[in-house]
Amino acid sequence: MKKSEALPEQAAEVLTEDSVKEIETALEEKINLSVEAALTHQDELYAEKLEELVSAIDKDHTSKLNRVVEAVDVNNANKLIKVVKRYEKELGSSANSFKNTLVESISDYLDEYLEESVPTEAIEEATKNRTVTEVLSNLRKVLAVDSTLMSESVKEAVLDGKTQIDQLASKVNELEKENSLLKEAYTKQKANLLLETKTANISGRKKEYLFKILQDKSPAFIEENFDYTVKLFDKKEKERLSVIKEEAFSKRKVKADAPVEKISEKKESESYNPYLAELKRSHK
Amino acid sequence: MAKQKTKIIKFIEEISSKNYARAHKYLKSVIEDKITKKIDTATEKPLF
Repeated sequence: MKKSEALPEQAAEVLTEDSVKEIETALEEKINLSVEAALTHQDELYAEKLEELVSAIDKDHTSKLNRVVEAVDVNNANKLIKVVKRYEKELGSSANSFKNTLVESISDYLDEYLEESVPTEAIEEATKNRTVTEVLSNLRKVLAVDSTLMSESVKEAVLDGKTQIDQLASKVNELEKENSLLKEAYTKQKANLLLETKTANISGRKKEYLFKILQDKSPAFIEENFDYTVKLFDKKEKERLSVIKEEAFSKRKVKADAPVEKISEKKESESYNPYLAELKRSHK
Repeated sequence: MAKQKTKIIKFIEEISSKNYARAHKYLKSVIEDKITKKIDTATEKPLF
């Protein structure tokens, strides 16, 4: 729409072209001013609102960030505490093991070094020498060996004496052995002779029994125990005879129709005794 | 043995703190102990 058309017809007839233009210009200026004022007002309003919004967002973000920072701090602090503890633990144990290893290594090294510079054999030899010297000096004191005895001539005499003593000692041993053998044989012979002498008047089972009991014994034993052994044999023999006698009595059979007188006569005439017969038989 | 270990530990400590005189003292003591132990072992062996 044209500016000239906006004016009413009466105004267009009254106003000139220039006046319309001036009015138009004035109106445009006023409009521009009004628009500018409105825009400024709007800007101010929007700026205020924006500031409020920004401050609200800032507050929100700040609180959120604070919470995030706190959470991160707590998390990191816990992790750091764990790391510190682990580190301390590792440091302690590994440092301890390292310390032990180091000490052992140094000890081993010193041992090796000492073994090289002062061998164990040398130390053993030295201690042996010292011990031997001490033993020798003690022996010298005990045996009274002084410098005189240590000279060559005396040494030979001492050695000769030692050889003679050794030989004599071996001879003495041999003689002792022979002597013991001879003593043994003599004792045996003496015992046999004594036994023979004592049993010269004894014969039969008694002699056998005595030999059996006393054969390997010493003469003193035979002297002491001979009578007792004889008595023992006699006692045993007596017991044996009584047993035989009883057995014979129990086994005896007498015929029913045998004449009693005849038997008694026979008994008187021959004086037959079955026990004596049995005894004789056993002695044979 | 424990005594020797302690002395070696002290020797290392003194070396670390650059106190060489003391370190020398401890090292000498350790070596003396070791030699004494060797001699004791050799002495305890019977002569015959």
